[in-house]
This record gives sequence, C-alpha cells and structure tokens, in this order.
Amino acid sequence: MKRILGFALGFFALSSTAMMFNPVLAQSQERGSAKPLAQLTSYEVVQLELKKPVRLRDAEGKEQSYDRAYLVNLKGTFPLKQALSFELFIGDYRVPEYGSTRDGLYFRIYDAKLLERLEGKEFRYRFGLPEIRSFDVRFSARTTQPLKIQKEQ
Amino acid sequence: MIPAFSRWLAFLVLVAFFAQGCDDDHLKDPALPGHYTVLSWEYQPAPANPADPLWTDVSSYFNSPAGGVPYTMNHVPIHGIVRYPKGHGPFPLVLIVHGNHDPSVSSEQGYIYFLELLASHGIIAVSVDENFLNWSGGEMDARAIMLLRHLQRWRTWNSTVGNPFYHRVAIDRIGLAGHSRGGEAITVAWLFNTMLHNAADPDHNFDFTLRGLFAIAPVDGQIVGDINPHTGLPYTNVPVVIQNADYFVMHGTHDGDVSDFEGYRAFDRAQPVTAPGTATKSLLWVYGAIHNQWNTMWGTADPCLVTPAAEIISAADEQSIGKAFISAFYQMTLQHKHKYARLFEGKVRFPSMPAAITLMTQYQSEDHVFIDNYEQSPNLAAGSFPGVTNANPGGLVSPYQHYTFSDDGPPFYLWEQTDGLVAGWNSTNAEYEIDVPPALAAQVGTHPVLSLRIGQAFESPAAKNTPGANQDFSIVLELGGVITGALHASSFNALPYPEQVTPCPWGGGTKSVLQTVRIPLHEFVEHHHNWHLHNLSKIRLKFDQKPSGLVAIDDIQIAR
Repeated sequence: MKRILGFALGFFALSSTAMMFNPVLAQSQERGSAKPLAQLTSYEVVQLELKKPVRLRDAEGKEQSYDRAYLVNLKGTFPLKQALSFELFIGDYRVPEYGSTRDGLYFRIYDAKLLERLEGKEFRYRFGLPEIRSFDVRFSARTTQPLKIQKEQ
Repeated sequence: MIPAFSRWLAFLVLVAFFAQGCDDDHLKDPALPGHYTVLSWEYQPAPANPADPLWTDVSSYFNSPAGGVPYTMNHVPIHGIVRYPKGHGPFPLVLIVHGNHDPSVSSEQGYIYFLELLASHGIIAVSVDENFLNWSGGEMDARAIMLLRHLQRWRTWNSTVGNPFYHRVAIDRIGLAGHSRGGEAITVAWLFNTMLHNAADPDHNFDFTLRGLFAIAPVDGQIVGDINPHTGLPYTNVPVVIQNADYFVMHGTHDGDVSDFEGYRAFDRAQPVTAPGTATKSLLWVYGAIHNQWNTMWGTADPCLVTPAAEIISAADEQSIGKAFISAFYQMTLQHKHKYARLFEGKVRFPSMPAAITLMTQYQSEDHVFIDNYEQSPNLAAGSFPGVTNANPGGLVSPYQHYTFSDDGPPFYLWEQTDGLVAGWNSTNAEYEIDVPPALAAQVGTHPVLSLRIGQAFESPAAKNTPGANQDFSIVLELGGVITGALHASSFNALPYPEQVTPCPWGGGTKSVLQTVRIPLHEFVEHHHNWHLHNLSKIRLKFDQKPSGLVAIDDIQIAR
C-alpha cells in the first residue's frame, strides 16, 4: 500500500509544478528493506542569487562562472550525524556535497544543463551497505511558474 | 690496583645498566607522562580582523556548511589547541583532528589527554578544530586541506624571528593523527601534500615531511567521488595508498559507527607489496572498544549499540590503551625510539593496558622480503619471491584456497582489501610447506625474523575452530639435511577466537582479524652451533596443535 502511495506521489511530483513550492511533496519508501535508513518526505527547488559569482571547473576542465545557483532543499530523515558517509544520488548523478539543515539537507546545482539532465530521475542513496537504494521520489524542477528566487545568506 | 678495579667496577655497572635498558621489562610505559613540563597555548583568528592569516578559504573544496555553522567557507578559522614541552627544542610536531560530530560541540577538546601526554614526551601536539565541516557530506578534501593550512602556519612561526616557536619546531618530523572522518583526512592530507603542492601558490605551498600517520577508527574511501576543484574531475590516486610514512590504525570490535572497520582496507593498501619497503605499518584491534570513547567530548555511546554490551570496555580503559599506542607510535616514528616497535609487534604489554582486554596486533617493518603475499596470481603453488614454491602434502589442508579477503560476512568474515590463503584442517598431519630457494636463504642474515599474518576464520555455525579458544600451530625449518625442532606460534603471539558481535542496521558484524606472528629465526638453531640458517631450504607450518582449525594467512615474509 505504501509503495503504491509512494509511486503515486512520485508520479504526482513529476507531473505537478506547484508541489515544489508546497513542502508536502512525496512519501518515500524503501525497496526491499525492513527498516529504512533514510527517508525523504519532500523537496523544494529555488533559484539562489549568489552574493559573489562562483567559479567552478566543468568536467572538461573549463572554468565557468555562475552568479546564480539552484538550491535544492530535502526534508526528511537522513543519517548525517555519523562517521560513515551518506551518499545522495539523483539518477546516476552523485551529489558531490551537501550540508545538513534542521529538518533535512540542502545542496546546490550550478549548471542549468545539469538541472535539465536530472529532470525526472529518482532520488537514491547509499549508506553503509554497498547497494544504492531508492527513495521512490523523482526529481523535477519544471514548473509553469518561475522558480522562487532567494538571496544567498 | 684499587683505582683500576674501581674503573672495571664502574664499567661493569654501566654495562649492566645499558643491558637493562634494552630489556623489554624496562621499556618505559608510554602511557605514563614523560619528563617535560607541559605548557598550553591556543591559536585562532581575531574575529574583527579579516586579514588575520589565521583565516583561510576552503570554499573551492567545500561550500555547503551545515545550518548553524557560523562561518562561510571562504572565511574559516585556523584554530588549534596546543600542548607543548617547555624547552628550546626543536620538538617534533603532531596534529590530531576529530571527525564528524555536532558542529556546535568543540570536538577538538576531546583529545587534550593525548596532547598532554605527547607534550610531556617532548612533542608539540595540536588538536585541530574542523567543527565547521561537520554534519555535511563531500567535505573530506576540505578536512585534509585544513590540516595542511595549519602546517603552513607552523612552518611560518618556526621561521619567523621573534615568534615564540622560532626554531623550536622540528619541521622535518611531523605526524598526523585523526579519528573517524579525521582518520581518513590524515591520509588525504598526506596525498594532497604532494599532489596539490604548488610552491608558487601560497594557499598550496605544502611539501611537508610527514613521517607518521595514526588513524583512530577511521573511515575510508570518502574522498572517492569528491571533485578536484583544480581539474573539475574526481580526484585521482584515491582511495589513498600510503607510502614513505609510517601508518597505524586502531579500531574496536564494538564500534557502533564505523562498524565495517574501514581502516583495515587502508592498512592493507599501505606500503604496497609492489613498492620497496620504506616505512612501517601496524594495526591494533581492541576487543570491546567502541567508536566514540576515544574522544572525551563524544560520550560513552555510539550511534548503534553493538552487542554483547557486557563486553564493552570503559572509556578510561579505551583511552588508556590509546595513550600507550599514540605515545609509543610517535616516540618510535618521530623520536627514533625504535624499541617501541615491540609494542606494535605484540611482544610487550604495559601496566596501562588492562590485562583482561584482548588486543590483536599486526606489524610490518619497513625492511622485509615477501615469501608469500598472494597478490601476484591465484596459483598457490608459486610464491612471491622468485623460486619459492608452496605445497599441501597429501592434500590434508582443506580448504586450501587462494581467497580475496573482502567478504563482509560468510564464509570467512574477513573485511579486508587483500588476497591470501584460507587453510583448514581436520588432521594433525596437515602441513603447509614452503620451498625456499638459495637466493632467499641468503637474505636471512639481514632479515632475521620469520613473520606472517594469521588468524582464526569465524564460521557460522562453528565447525573447525572452537568458540572462545585460542588456535595454535607449529613451525619447523629444514636447513639442508637438518630438520629443526618445532616452535609453537602461541609462544610468540596468541591467536584468539574472533569476537562475535551483532551488526548495526547499516552493516558490520563479526570480523576475522589476523594477528602478526614474528619468530626470531635464531630460536630455531639455538644450542646447535653447526646448524646454519643460510642453509634454509624449507619452512613448514604444521597444523598439529589442535585437532581441527580454519585460518586465514597472508604476508609470509622474512623481516628485520
């Protein structure tokens, strides 16, 4: 039943744009695990105006400058207080870094092309065990309205 | 006559004194304070001075701090707590760094007990604050860069006329110690020290002489996948393979955080078999030790309770063991007190190390010649040294299996990153025979110890090994036509039964950990003046001390 609910909500996350601005987006459910090690309950994507441009090298080694980023906030339960690493994926993309928040975690995506590439891909994670598990929630930043804009603190 | 007699008497007293000093019984307990007066200092940037060189920028490495961290990553403090010996020095320098914990807790204060001990032995000891990197992910490179930025400050202070530490730091004798994520950070710092060194860039002018790395319940491999900001690509040469620096790792059977003993893999990779030996590696496996008790700020419980809980040792005992090993390690690696190698070989035990606690040790000296390391091919008949051949006469060793020691559960629970031999027996006639070519025998004069790693393999359900009982076997040499008497492994090091523990929800569980057994070869020929070790032609491991058994074996070598 929960899996069906997760699937339904995941599908809803894909198809609805308003959900990204409404914190209650999706329920996650472990696949093949008796006890979940992490749970993703909702996520939100906003556009972040950076105080200073950020310069990063892309995979071709070319330096790119960004004055905006996409800030992705995840709410849920994540094992971030331990020594072992919690690895977060969207599809096959491994989120290279993130920080914890009071009720979840956040990370940034600088490249709009990457944001596009991740559209519709599943949030997944690995913690302790070798296998990568799914949250049964799909990522989407598409919206009929412009993304909410937030200034970097 | 009398003055001459007095001189002789004085000479004899001196000889007796130095002879005593060389004896294990008179090795000083390294957990006891040394004779230096310990002084305190703390450095951190002035909050109101943004140009203070104790501010630094790690934002290109990591820029996603946890909520509540009061710094932006382009402006983080170089903050350390220092204990140092009174005197002119120069004194070796050791940095110790914590791992992941609540960023609002001053985790660096949890190692003051180590700092004070090291300083009393003549070492400048610093605990580094990296709390602003906690409760986040993808920050391993920044953890390492911070250590190198601290070392840059120390190099500057040591070379600045008028600084209190001017010419007081032995900048060519540096050690790094780290706990948990800090335990991997020190190995990454070792890598970045050369890989990211750029003398023309003040932020990356490193190239320090790092001599000893001491890892406490470390994680391993978190640097894999981190992006190198200089290339935009994942880092190369990771996970790290330590060379040219002594490496030590200690870990507890009841670790309820790093429950998969990740440092074992770093230990296996260190000083690789393909490279000439230039440094030592050693390992301590502490029955009943947990993760958090090495840090006095982290409490006495881990995120997961590994049972049987009754086997968990007290924080005082755990820290006492840690003190003995960290002090001995840095006295050995930074102060040339090589006699403390005896501790890492498992040959001595000090009063500070509670006798009831089982400790397993592994040690490889820098100077060794492999006989069998099982890395070249799965063909068990061929040894690692040219001309060495191995045999299983009569097929009585069963299983007799070349095996990758990476299973984290059944069948053998080995948790390593190496290849070796799994050997079992149900007959006391079972033997593992190694034929030794003359070219290897010729090296026993300079490598007078036979050494191997061997341990009981855990079985579920128990079959060949007896739960709770030590295992044993014999070793016999053939010296041309001479067969020596047998020596028992248990005379040199015990082979305890694996501690059976429960896993955490994220993994872990019982581990079959090996023990290094080091046998001085001269003990085979004592009282036989016409027996010569350079005639060594065969080494026989005879499984004749217990009716059955199952062991894992690796790194058979002759060594100093």
